[in-house]
Amino acid sequence: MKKLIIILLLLYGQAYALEVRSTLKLYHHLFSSMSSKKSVNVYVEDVEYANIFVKSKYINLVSDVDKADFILVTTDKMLMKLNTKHMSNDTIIITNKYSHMTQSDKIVGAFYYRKGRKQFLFVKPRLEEHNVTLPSMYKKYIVDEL
Amino acid sequence: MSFVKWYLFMVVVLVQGFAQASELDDLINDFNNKNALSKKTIDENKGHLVLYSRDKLERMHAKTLKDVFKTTPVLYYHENRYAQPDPLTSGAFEPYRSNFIRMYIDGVEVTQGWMGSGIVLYGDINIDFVDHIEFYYMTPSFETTTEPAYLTIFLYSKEAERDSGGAVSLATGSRGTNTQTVSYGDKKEAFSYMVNLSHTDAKREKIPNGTSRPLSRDFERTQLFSYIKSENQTFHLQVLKKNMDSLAGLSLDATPLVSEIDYLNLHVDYSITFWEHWKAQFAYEYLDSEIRQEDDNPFSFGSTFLGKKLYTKGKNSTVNTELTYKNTLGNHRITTGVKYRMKGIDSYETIDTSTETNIAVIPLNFDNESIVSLFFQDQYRLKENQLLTLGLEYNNITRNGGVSDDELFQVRLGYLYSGEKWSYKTYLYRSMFALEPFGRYLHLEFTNSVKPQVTRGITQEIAYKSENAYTRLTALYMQDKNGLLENNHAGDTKYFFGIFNYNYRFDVNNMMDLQLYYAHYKDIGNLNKLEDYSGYVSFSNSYENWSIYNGVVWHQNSIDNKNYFDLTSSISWEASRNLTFTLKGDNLLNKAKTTKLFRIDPLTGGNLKPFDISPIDQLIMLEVEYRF
Repeated sequence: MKKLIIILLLLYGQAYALEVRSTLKLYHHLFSSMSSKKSVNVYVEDVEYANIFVKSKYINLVSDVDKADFILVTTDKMLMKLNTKHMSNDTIIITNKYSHMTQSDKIVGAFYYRKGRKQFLFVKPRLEEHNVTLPSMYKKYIVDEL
Repeated sequence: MSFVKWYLFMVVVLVQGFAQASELDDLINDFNNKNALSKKTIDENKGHLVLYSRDKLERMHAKTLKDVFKTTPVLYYHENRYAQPDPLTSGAFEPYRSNFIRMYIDGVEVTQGWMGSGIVLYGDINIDFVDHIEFYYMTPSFETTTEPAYLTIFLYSKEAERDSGGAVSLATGSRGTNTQTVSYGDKKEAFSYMVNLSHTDAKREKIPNGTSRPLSRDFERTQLFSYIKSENQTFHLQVLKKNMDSLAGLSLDATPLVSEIDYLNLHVDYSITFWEHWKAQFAYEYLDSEIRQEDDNPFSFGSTFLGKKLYTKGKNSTVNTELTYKNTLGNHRITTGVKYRMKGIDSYETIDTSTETNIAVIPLNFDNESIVSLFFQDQYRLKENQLLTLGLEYNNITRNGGVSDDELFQVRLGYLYSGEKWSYKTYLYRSMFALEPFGRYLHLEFTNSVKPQVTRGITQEIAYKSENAYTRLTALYMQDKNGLLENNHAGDTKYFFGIFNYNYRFDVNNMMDLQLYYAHYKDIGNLNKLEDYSGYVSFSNSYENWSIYNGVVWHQNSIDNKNYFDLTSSISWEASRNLTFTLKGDNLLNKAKTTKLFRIDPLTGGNLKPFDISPIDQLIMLEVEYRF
């Protein structure tokens, strides 16, 4: 039924943003690779991401940054806010914009657009700081420095 | 054939040699495919689509629209005797012929107004600013078009959110050809913007013509594309300046002493969506052209001799306004609207510079053509996966200067089925085409009534999608009455096309595209029958920081049964996240399809042997791209 709805959306030529299933699959893979918890607490301000994450049984959306296992930064404003706040090492911050990685050492990794395609990027020392060891399939997305 | 076997063998070896993609790569690839920008813009109801996604354009290392256009079926990239992109050219002395092809950037038509289709200037533009390209065959959705077309080309620009930051690329290659491109874009909270500036100095292959001055088609082009967008408003500014050597130009025997054309084009448009269902759009286009032609024999216009040195200067402008309304009412999705287009020639003069006399061959009182279009479309949902579509359009064309007016009426009926694996669509249509104003302007006899062309057709498409493969068969049958393009036979032109596509993904890094095309024409040009065949096969492979593309376009037709091959290969190396080197070769076998350029002996009026000229130069380019 879900597929049919997607097909009909295409037929009608209506614009939509992120596709739910592939987005959830990818973030599930990422979060479960970084955390051994059965479910994870995620803080996100972006309405579009929130609407997708709320459909997941694995992801719990939280409204308090301090209760989050993961924070997804999507705007410069959100980044500035986090930069002024003391964050625990247990909270992992990721972003969807490459420039955020260069602007803040607090950000561990990015799932960002490069040449119109999304790809991962992680900085090794920042992963180590948070005691995160990613599976080997992430190896090619890890750099020593930016 | 031995080359094709060798080529296929090499590709199979390459594919097998590459490592398998990981589960994570598959997830990322799935995400990218399902969230591609093209998913937002594709409208299946526009017609039969050939899509060049961002991923495919990147893999092809396509840098100009010509790189893409040369691989499309039905209408291929060709250039006329002025070296202008003109896929429907016959190579004879004729006004611009490709006005049945219309081009859009971000949904707004780029028209050269009095000259006709935007293809004349934009047919080979630098596509660095483009995210993806959609080619729709046959009569398109009336929602998008003001004037009828056989083929509509939609270029969609990169989104600032997905391509934020800057990029600089420098390329140099054969004969000193060089290109520089700079772009920058960003998304702010309330708006996003992008600016893309490019400069190309193209040193193209010369065509020997038996004189000390071989035919030249070099050009220098500076191109600006920019936009600023908010949630419901968009503003575009495009400027294109092209100074070109215009091949044979007006020279009857293709031995010009001087043949040059300079163009300056400005395009601005603004659109706003409001009250949820309404959209208003305004576009303005300006084209300034200067033509310099010199020959050792006098140029002629019909039976009038014009002198040996001509200078023509023309300015024209086009204004487009649109108001559309879209709403879903039960199972009906209604789109209706009104469009107004005004094409004006602001000035046009031709001077014989040897005598400094103004040559009065133009009916100067004809300088304006206006088109009012009303359309209505309904997409009725029969079932969850089936649509019935109906489109009606009325065009009222008025011309001043005593030139006759036209009324056109277009009808389009379609049925679409889309299942999980199978999809099917069919259209029935009746379209009408009017002669472009420039054609009338240059031929006094056409200022009187010229019957609009009526084209009737039926098209069908069936496709099957599996996990790694996509197979599609498209068939079209059309018939023209009162054909506007030259037809020396009494019968109406009839044509049948069949296109077969097969795309296979070996894994996330290795893909193959295959396309076969057959066309059968009856009563076209000077021919009772014409059969046209073509094929396109390409392989794109990537391994770690390397990506390789190989594509061959094959052509043959029943005129000479000669085989033409255009091999394009490229290899790209990402030295770092910011720096990429690409080496690319076009027409590597130097056997790409050619176009006839007809010649007349100016002294006897007899026909000389035509030149065979390929619009695709043999070209090797090295490019360095830096992103920041």
